Amino acid sequence: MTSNGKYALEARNLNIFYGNFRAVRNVSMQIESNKITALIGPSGCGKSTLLRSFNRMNDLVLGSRADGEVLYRGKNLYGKDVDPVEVRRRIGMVFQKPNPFPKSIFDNIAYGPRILGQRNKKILAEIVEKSLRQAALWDDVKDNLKKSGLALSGGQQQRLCIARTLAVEPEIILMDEPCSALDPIATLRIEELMRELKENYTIIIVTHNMQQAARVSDYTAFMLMGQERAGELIEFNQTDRIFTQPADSRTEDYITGRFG
Amino acid sequence: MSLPENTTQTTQFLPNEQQMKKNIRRRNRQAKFWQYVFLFSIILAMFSLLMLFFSIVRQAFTYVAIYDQVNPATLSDKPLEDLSKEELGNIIETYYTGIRTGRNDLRTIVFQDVLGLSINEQDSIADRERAKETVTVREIFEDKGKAYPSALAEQSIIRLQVADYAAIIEENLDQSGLYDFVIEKVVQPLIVDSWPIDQYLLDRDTIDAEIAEAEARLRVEKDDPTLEVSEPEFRSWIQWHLLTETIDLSRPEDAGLRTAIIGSIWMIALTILIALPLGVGAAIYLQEYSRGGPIARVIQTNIDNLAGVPSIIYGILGLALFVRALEKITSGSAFGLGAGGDTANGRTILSASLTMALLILPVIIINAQEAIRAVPDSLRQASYGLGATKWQTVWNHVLPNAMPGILTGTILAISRAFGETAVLVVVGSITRITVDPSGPFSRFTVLPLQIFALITQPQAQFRNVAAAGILLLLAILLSLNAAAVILRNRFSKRAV
Ligand SMILES: Nc1ncnc2c1ncn2[C@@H]1O[C@H](COP(=O)(O)OP(=O)(O)O)[C@@H](O)[C@H]1O
Ligand SMILES: [Mg+2]
Repeated sequence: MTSNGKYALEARNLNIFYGNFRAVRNVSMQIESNKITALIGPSGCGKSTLLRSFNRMNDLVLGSRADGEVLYRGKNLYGKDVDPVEVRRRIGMVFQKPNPFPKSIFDNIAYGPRILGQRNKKILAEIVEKSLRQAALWDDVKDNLKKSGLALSGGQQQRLCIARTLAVEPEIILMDEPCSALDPIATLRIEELMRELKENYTIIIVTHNMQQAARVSDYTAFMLMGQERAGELIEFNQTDRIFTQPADSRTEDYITGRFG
Repeated sequence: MSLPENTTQTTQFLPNEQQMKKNIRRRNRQAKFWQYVFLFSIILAMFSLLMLFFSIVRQAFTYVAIYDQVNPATLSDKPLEDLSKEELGNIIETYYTGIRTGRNDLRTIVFQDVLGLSINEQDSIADRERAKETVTVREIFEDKGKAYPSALAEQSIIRLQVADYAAIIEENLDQSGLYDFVIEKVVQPLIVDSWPIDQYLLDRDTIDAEIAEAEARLRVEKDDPTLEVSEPEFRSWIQWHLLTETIDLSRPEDAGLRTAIIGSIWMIALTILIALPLGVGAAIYLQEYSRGGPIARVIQTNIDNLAGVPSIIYGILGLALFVRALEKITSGSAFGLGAGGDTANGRTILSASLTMALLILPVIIINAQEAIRAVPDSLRQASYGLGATKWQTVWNHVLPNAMPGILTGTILAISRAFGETAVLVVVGSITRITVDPSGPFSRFTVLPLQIFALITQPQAQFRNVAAAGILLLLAILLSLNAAAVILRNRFSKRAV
């Protein structure tokens, strides 16, 4: 599926700084294609920072800087000739708080294709329907696509945001605690959706909810703040290994709820 | 009021019950005291505002005493309103025959008021007559669809006698129209004096004395012992002709503010056109593009400080830069425009608007920055996350969502520009001007300056016109502010 072979994304000795503060230290990991990889760890350990560095969203933070490599199809995303605008189209992002545009449902989803240059109304309508179906939202909204995206419930809004991301046909989807603002039922539906999506996409999800990581992910990365509050990757393995036989005692402490 | 004694109090850290009871009273007294202080300041502020408003309103609504420059009794034995069309026509004829320029005056009235001929049409009639052609009454009147006495049909329209012109006017007006004509053109009532409405209600004696005095003086002056000054009658100085007439420094009752209003509108429109795109552009750059380095911080500090610079300083800058240094451009001569009789050098609307734009630019930038900052970052993130460029994000999300805030700030800046005078005095707006500005390269005046000019006139009634002008200005400013408030409310409702 990808020319990186088995791996959709690979971080090598990645360090991320905010000004002089090192938020993430020396992370190396390989993200397998068409799998769900979960990033877990206590608050402030750099999960979001690491995730955002995978599609260069962190560039938008003034004073942030990344050191090391993130390989995508053999290419370093932080290489000189790489355009972050292109990166973010290939590697989409879903945020913690649902953030639909204050526009109609249709325009929310058509926005991505439009800015990429697709002007054909019929094709746009097709994209909108396909993306909404993929995000399991089509049946809820097909009769009022003109309605504002903000008029939907929280769970629907988040699925709208997922559909919006799917509309630009990314390869990898990054999700930063996508369910933390949702109720348990809406959370369940998003989790189901993620399982369906991994057929075609590689998903990396940050979650502070260990049950969620255990339920949906194939791989789990555990991060912790180390020296000088820099986040470090403690352990990265198949999810059932992490939850049943963690190699590091700190991982065990965390998942058994002894700290964090 | 007081609660039962607390017997379980154990520590000695707080004052004991007795002391606390006492200091509760003291603390409450203190609270009350400040409450009254604040209430007093509000009352004082409202009172000053009311007084200000009242002092304007009492000048805009007055009682006036009038005397007729031509005593109607000398025109006819009967009251004028009872006269027939013919008798009124005779009065017009007699009156204009008695004036040296009567024939020309009447012809002008016929051309402008009856026929509604433009200056060009009048010129072409004159040209044809000069070329020995006869422009007949029939031709022009049939062209305009107006009535004329058939006896005059083949005569030259510019060579008629007073009686003929009077007959034409008589033909085209009904009795009440003719009556109004006679009053306005022949009797010519003149305001002798005016009194604020409150004085009329409270102090009639003074008014009556002043009327009697004026009457005595006028009788001597005009050598007419039957001359009478009318009883005081109500007059609102807020009248339609404020908008439609130009300033007339001889007759306050006819003075309008049209030239100043048009000048203000031109000046403001150009100012918006210049300042809005520049200001919004600068704000977008500072908020969305700038990386917040030392240069950006210096620029930001400068903008913040510029907002507080006294406007006269902008005026001086505008004088040096736009009026003098860039005269070729601001006078229009660089484009082959603006030259001719009313050449204004650099003292044009364009210079004033450029200066005014500089003046309000910091305010617009600061407000636009505020509005842009208020756009939730999550929208930008969402847009960038889909692979949008900076410009696409700004254009599709930042600007539309910031627009109500930007407009609110702009409207407030504009209302400041509307009332601004010092700047315009310095860049050479003139006050005694009756020619409407025709474009960016015209000389001009604006409403506040015109009001100032009116107030400095010796004749007291111009102050009444000025008061009406002030009310007009206030109405414009209040509507601008109301528009800003409405926009802001709508915006904050939507942002929830
Ligand atoms: N925009 C930022 N500017 C400066 N420091 C930041 C910024 N975002 C996060 N940080 C810091 O980086 C560290 C990691 O943050 P984050 O990645 O948000 O952690 P997590 O998502 O695991 O809670 C924290 O110490 C946080 O204070
Ligand atoms: Mg986070």
